Amino acid sequence: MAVFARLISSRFMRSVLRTAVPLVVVLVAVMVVGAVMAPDGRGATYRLLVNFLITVVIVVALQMFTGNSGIVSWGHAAFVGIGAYSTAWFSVPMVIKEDIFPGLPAWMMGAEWGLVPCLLVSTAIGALAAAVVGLAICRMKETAMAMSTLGLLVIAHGIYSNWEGWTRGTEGVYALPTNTTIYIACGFACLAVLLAVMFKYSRVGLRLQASREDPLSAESTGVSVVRARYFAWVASAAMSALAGSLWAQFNLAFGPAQFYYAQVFAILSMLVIGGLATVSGALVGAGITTVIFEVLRGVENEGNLFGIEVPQISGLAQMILALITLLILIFRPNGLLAWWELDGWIVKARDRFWKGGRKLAPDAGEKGGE
Amino acid sequence: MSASEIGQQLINVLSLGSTYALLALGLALVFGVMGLVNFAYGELVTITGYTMYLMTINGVPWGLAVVCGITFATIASLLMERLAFRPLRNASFLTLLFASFALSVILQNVFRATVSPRTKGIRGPGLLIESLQIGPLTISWMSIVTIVVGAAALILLTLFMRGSLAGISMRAAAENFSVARLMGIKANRVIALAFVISGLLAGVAGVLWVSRSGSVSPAMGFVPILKAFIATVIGGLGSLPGAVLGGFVLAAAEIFFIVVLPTSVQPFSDPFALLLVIAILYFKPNGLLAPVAERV
Repeated sequence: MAVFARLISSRFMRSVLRTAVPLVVVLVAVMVVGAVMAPDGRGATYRLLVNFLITVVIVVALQMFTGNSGIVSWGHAAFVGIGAYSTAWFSVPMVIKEDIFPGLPAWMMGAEWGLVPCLLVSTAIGALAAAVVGLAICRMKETAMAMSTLGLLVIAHGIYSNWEGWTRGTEGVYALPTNTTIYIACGFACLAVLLAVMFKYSRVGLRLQASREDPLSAESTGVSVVRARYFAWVASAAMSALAGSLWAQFNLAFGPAQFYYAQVFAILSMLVIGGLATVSGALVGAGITTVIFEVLRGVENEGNLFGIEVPQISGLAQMILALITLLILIFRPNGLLAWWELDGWIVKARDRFWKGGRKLAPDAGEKGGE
Repeated sequence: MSASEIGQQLINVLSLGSTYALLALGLALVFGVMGLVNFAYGELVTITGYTMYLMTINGVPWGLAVVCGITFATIASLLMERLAFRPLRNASFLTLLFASFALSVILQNVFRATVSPRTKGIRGPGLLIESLQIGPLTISWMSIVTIVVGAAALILLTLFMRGSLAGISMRAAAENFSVARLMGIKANRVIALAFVISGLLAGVAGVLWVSRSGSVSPAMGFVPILKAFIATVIGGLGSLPGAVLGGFVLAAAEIFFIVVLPTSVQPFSDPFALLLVIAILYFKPNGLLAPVAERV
């Protein structure tokens, strides 16, 4: 107990909580809205909010790696896929499984597990896959790493589309049990945010950020860049797989196309729009992108913008999202939140309001401007 | 495997490899002068394809459509630089990469909205489908044309890069941009030139690509950019000979797995080739022909 009290009151934990609490409040508010608007757990709004919370886990997971290391990963959608497929292997009812996954071994055929075991096994499989792949990828130079993660995405897509006995190929998987509710999704989104903030302020996280700014200098001060990258890679891949499992247990049917180019682009845009360097940025980006997508999808599919009729344009949502991403990169290259977490912005706004614009000192572990 | 089969596959490697080499060169040139891995490069191939598609269905002769396709890809490449990448001069590798990725998605959706979201067939001259019998080898005209065009483009580019002032200044800029500027090389001009040549190469490769596949679709640029990206990284990003070598290595790896793997695992030949590439990078993290000087 005393150890726990000391941890909570430590400087590290204080910074973690200061950053994480506002984010958790936002996530819980989303959950409350969902729970109040749809107490029966149905309807389009409920689906939207739950999917948003799951998206937060995915984007925060990517932020843990890309945000701290400065290396883009196209491969994280592959780990989301690993999570989703492994959940299907262990949760689809046996009668259907014999039909859609004829290749599974007997002991897996019988498994009809619930939420928690599925989450655990998916996370473990995701972490294991990342640990193996990471041995090769994390040693590479930054540009080669970016290419290899793209290669990883293509390899994974090839496997999902062609490994008939285990994935049902391009026809896709169905009949997963509905286990993810808005409470569970919110719980894991909060956990993801907390872990990502802890990682950011942790020793490994700081080392990784140092390597992001300048790998050579970081190395010369004794940071093992490869080790820091490897740790972040495995942790963020495991979190992606967890998100994939949550997602699969909410959306119930999926195919290989759900873990490919379009999704990777959406996740990366969220990260870029909010700002790579902060966990808050991931959350804000996910929120903005979800709203834009929802509004524009109405235009794309029904020709309806806030009740006004407009011509249907296919691919409009993606096009506008890409345009916004490009404009953000040109005019605000560090994303909307730049280097400050939400708590920093709250302090900034408060100071401007009360004291007429006092300059905010950047937090420890963050880069204070250029 | 008999000697003639090996010969047959060698021709396949040469033909696929020269397409990849052209694509990779265009990507490597732009990376050399401004540190940008241009993800929207694949869309130049798509632009060539759509130009050719729209012209041929309207009765324009094939030859003219080819010329226009290459011209439009070049113009589009120059426009990309002007509109999207010039405001991002001196941005980080990551920002540039994201920006080009966003640009690529914008263009794909423009094609989707203006032409059609569906795949469209495109018919080339009948000659390309026929093949030639040389001794025991059956060689399609498509392969011959690809190899000849690829070789011609490589030779012309080499002559240009080594012989002309513009080419030499571009190589200097790729070596060290700041020093090249100190020597009086105009930054805007050399970058624009790199984009023009990159567009030309994408156009030529695009014609070959479309003639081989016989179809165009909005997202078709993904495969060419993927291959080009892989080839440049295998060769060592920033090295032009490396890009060419990478293209041929990648083609060899792909053909090798298609030949070696049994039919049941045939769909996995691409993943296997990629794994091999990652294995190469494991042992040579900087690529096969990495430039000696580090870009700062």
